[in-house]
Amino acid sequence: MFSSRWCDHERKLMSTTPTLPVLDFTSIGPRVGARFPDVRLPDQTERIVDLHAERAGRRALVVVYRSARW
Amino acid sequence: MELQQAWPELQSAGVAVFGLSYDSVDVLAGFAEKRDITFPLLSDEGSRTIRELGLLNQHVVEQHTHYGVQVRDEHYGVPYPGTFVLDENGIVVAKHFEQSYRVRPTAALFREIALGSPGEHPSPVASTDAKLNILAWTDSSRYRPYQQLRLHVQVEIAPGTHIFATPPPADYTPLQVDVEPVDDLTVGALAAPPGQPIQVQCIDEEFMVYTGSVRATLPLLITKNLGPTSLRVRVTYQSCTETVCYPARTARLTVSVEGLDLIRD
Repeated sequence: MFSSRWCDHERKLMSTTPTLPVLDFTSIGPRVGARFPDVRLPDQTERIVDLHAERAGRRALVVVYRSARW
Repeated sequence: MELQQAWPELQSAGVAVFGLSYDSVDVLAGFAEKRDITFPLLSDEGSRTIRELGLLNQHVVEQHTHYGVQVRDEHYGVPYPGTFVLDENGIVVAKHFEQSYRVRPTAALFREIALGSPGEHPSPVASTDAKLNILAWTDSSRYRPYQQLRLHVQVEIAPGTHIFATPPPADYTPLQVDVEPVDDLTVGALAAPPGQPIQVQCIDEEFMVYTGSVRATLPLLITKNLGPTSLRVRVTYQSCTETVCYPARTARLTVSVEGLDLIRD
């Protein structure tokens, strides 16, 4: 145990260099606080789906992904 | 697959789920049948909607180069992969994207994104000393390669005691969590709340501390199926009361997880 010494200090800054491009996803794509745009596309059954209409007033998760195939 | 696993719970919570990709209807029909997917998978062949949403991946070359993967034609037109949470009015209330396209969410993460709570998780392991009780657990006791597995560490601090947050005063140790290195394990940056300021004698400056209970999350990425795996977690902290500070301590906990193979076609 030791008494606290508060009177001198030094701040250290650490930085890391990313190797992937660092992307700011707050400004990429639809923004938090904005209405998700209207989307009308066919689904796997060939039915044309209007996203907001299909949601029918429910909360929703929209998962955007690279591919189902690879 | 992870989303399909979380789907029944999301559905009974009244959350609608949509997938969106540039795959054709035929590809999606085959995929939905094979994986037993019952929510709509929207087909944006040609990536027009992906472009209109501003999600077209403009960094295909750099990202694939980073992983030493040859860029193929089919890589162009892909979106940045991620998830949007919409409220009852269709307003985006949250979005979840990773810097690396390789990191995939788990069912627990989908549940948490959509419902705000991760649902059940494995029982925590604990470490206790006179002033602190530390609990550690992962979202899931099983993982597949490239899934984002999160380690949660909860520190319960006795009344009248605090531990340092970041940045600490000079010579003092803030809360740190790390995992002993394991091949094929990548540990991300610790996510911890900012702490509360306390006024400090002698200098007109505040330092950030934690009192009561604090939870921090460490993202883990395991890129191979390592089978049964012991994660040796180290939680370092320094505690003080009003009058006295103790030397920094490192508590060690072992969290066990089990690898599963990637689902491949």
